[in-house]
Amino acid sequence: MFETDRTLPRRGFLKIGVGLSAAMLWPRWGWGEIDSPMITSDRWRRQMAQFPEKTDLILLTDRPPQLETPLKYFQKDLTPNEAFFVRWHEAGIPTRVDTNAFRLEVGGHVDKPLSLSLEDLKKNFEPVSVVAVAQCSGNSRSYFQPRVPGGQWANGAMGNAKWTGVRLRDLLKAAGIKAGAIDVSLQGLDRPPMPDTPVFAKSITAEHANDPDVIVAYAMNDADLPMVNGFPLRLIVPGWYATYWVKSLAHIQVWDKPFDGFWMAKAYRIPADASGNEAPDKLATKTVPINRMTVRALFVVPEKDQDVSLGDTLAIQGVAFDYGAGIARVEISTDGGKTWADAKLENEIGKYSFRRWRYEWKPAKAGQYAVQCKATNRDGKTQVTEQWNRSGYLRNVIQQVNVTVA
Amino acid sequence: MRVSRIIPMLALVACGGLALWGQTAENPGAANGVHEITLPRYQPDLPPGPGREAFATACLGCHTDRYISTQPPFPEAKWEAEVKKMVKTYGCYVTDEQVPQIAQYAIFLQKSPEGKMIVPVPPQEPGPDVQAVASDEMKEAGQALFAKDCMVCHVAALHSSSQSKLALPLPTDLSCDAFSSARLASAIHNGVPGTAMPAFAYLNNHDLQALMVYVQSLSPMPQKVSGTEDARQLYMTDCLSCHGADGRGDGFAAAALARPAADFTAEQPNAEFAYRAISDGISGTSMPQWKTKLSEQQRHELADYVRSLYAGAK
Repeated sequence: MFETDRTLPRRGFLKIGVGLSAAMLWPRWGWGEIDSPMITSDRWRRQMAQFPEKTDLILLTDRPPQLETPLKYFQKDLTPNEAFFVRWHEAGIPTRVDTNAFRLEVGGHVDKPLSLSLEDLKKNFEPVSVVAVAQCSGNSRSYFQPRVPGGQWANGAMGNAKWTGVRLRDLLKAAGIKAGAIDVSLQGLDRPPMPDTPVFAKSITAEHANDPDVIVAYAMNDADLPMVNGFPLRLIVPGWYATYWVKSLAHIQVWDKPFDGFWMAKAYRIPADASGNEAPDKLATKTVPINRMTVRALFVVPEKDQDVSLGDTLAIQGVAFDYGAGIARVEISTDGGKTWADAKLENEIGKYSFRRWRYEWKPAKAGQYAVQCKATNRDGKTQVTEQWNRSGYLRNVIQQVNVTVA
Repeated sequence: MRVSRIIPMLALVACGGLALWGQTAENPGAANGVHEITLPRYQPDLPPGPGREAFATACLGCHTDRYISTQPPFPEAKWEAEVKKMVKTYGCYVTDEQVPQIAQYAIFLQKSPEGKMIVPVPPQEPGPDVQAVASDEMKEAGQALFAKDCMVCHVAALHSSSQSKLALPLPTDLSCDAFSSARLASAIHNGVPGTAMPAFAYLNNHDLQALMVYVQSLSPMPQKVSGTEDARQLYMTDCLSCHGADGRGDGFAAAALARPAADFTAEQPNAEFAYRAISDGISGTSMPQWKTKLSEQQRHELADYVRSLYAGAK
């Protein structure tokens, strides 16, 4: 029990301690406010919340939960399970799983439908691991101008983890996937509260399902998945947006015709144009399901605009990732994008992983600096300076922090 | 007491009652291979404003008010398009005239002072194991306690003309529901999470029982009601997600509700109230309106069905 203290220091106070995160200032039961300068025009107050098996995360919504990871957790290669972002669509999320009774069903256009226990999965199929970034389709949505509706994420709707499980294709082979398979749909234990709301189900093509990197994971960073991250099983689709990474996966269905579920046919669509762009006054008429992630680099230190004393060195660091070609280069500009210098890339853990980078910068003169970071992948794809689509997806505009040297 | 003095008191009760609860996130048990978590339950923040009634009955069934209050400012046409999308593609039951009202409230929320920090409310806990055994003496003692502690909300405020300024959900109209002893003991002793009903844990068992006797004297007599098979099937489609297969309020989508879904084994609404709640929803809770989805006859049958679930009917 505690009393509400309405005189708790707020934003002004937090600004004093640059680099000291709100989560560190507040006790574990989780009050605290996140300073998010780019969206201060919003009325709502960003605050921390603690969900079961999780640490204090930024609360966007509570039912169904949308929880954002504070940037400080990206100073390490792997994002801790307890800090990994959370996003559900239907309020009926699983809260109780009997691991003895749980079955993963594999059916549809197959010779012998399967009903697999967790033990079956672990014992009868070859275990494989992949380190991969899960990123919400709408990560960084709050930075689009004009603003768009949807979860108002800053940059923390992402995380990097080691996923261990079995290949989806091994399961499909065991079930005897038949010739003529077109799509494979995936559905979890979550259910909508209202009877007419479409159940959350996603699909990938049968060809994609045959990719050995696509796995059904029962472990995340060598531990059970937290319930709100998809216990006991989660589909891992490396390089693709996390909307396909179906949580609490329970049903796999093979289709001999295109799967046309709501969450493929109507939601999570992007303009068909290769750039993924459209204009607010001229929306794209042709759309396609969102798919591979765009290339991007993000600042982790500094997290936001910062003051630096002349003579000090700013140890800039961040992460970069793409859809699996691998990061070839990260560059830093301190003059708003006019000139660029290479950041130092850290070791590559895997092509779907965060690639961490560093850049030591000692400003020679006092002044205002527009510091930017930009990633390029091995396919030569890089980032953009302008971007807009109605749903706030695919964000990979070159990020800028303003540094004042005095 | 004049009604004008009651409203600020109610607001105080609402703030105090809710702010005093605290809960740290529980770690799950994994006993016998069962992995279970307890989700935090957050109170909706619904300041009085235009369109609140429509918003508070239409939206909370599926999602928290923070789905709206965390959005950037949008013009009215954009909000109306969003509400229509909810109706058309997500199967939300909103009447045509409610669409602009909901949009109006979304805009009002954007223009209101900064939202409150929200803290989880605790789940409903059982109260002391006491029975309400009626006697004139107990009823009289209960009436005195009721006049002192309960009337301000349950009678005066509820029947005032200032309902639109009250915190939601509104105080329970005790003449509309029969409550089991266990339900009453829990509500009075612990308060009701997700509402302004505070805990009266300081009452000794005698006073608690007296209050229970008096409250039950206000209630309709529990009735033996039978439900049709059609209504049962309807219940299993439309109501089960929150109220649960047996009506205990433990459905799969109820885990994070601030105010627990009604447990029909422990309370029996009268026919009129049950029909009204099904038709119009209950403002400030996740109980939505069904008048746009179900026919009048279906709603009456469903009302009878939920009434048939009461365990204490003779």
